[in-house]
Amino acid sequence: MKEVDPIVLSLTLAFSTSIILFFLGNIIAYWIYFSKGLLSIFLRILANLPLVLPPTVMGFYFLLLFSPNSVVGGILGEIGLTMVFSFQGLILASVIFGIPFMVNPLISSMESMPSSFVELGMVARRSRPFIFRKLLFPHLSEGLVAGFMMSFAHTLGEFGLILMIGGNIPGQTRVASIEIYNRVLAMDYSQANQLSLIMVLISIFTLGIVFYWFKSKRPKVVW
Amino acid sequence: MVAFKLKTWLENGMEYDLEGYMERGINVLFGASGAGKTLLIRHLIGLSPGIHLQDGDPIKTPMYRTRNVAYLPQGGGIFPKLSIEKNIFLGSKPSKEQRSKADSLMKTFGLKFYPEDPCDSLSGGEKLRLGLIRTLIENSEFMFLDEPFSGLDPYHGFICREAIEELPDQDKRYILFSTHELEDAKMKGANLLMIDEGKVRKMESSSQIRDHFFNPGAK
Repeated sequence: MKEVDPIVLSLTLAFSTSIILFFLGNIIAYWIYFSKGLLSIFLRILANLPLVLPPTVMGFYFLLLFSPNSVVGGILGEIGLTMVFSFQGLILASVIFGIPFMVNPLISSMESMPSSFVELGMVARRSRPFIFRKLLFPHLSEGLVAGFMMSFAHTLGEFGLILMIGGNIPGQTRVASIEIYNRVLAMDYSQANQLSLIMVLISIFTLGIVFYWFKSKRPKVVW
Repeated sequence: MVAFKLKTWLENGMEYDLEGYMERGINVLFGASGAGKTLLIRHLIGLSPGIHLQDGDPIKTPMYRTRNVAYLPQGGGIFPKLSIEKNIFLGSKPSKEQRSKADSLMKTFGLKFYPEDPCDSLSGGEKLRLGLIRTLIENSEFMFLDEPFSGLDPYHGFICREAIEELPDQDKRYILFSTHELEDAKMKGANLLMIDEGKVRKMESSSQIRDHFFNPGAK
């Protein structure tokens, strides 16, 4: 059987991660936005840890938590889910790692809205989930696009975390960034160059979508 | 009558000691820009904490939780990405009755839109009138309108003032709006309030208010 191409694997990982984050990110952003005081700060710290921590630290704890000998890993193993050195493990880790890239644009979108958006809902005695779904969410499109594309692009470029918890299994966890590393180590520069070039093109395309989308939303100014 | 008492400070050190009362019917709130009109309205509704109502202890539950309150923020508080209808009913589905009431208010206020139309290209005056429809659609006991007529053209200003003046059940509800127009002091039966130097003063006539603007601080 021919193993899955590293580029396809990278794109599949990035796409599934962003889809999951699209939904999860909204829930987390809602939670952070409506929490007050210390809880709000604590949640913001938690959501932004992946931005500051070295991927190796995250990967290390991920390994500890999900190894078959641990409690969580044991339970998951019983139902047939292996999180370490597997593709689904990569998705889970990428989702956790991508949280700030999805949540931060959403939060800043919400915080830049006029305070009357929430207040009008409060005065009319609408519930918080209602206010979020019906009044705030329709104004979130920019944050959603930015968050989706940023988590996509970031997952595409992830290396350290994947090396830590995915290993280097051909067709399963050997994504493009890992394969380029392998090729360079093997002094196979032409293969490395080929893969790198494809990654550059994909990245330009991804960012192109974002910037084109935002540009088309802005009113035209005549100089 | 609803008596209120509020002592608060802004970060810039400005001190407010606002004490007065709202009467049933129309209350008109005057004051120079930055005098604290919006501040008082927000505290009365309960969007900012710390006000005493009815001479009692400081209220812990905001007014909007216990009473039916309608609020028009400055500029109308329009959601640009929601439709006309979603703006009027704040995301809820209206009943047939409510929808026809909204229709007739739209006609009265000269808004020629369909319920599904988007709101991102409304003009300032249209936003205000749409916001006004939202506050009028429920027969709320309390209505707080923050500069509901600022920026309306003379014709629609007249229509909107008339709509407020002719609201039914004036003796059962409290309507308070802030304004910069001395003409508004002439609304019938209006309780006139003026905020100046962090205090609320009761006013008797538009000429007294005019004198106060030109000679602030004088008794």
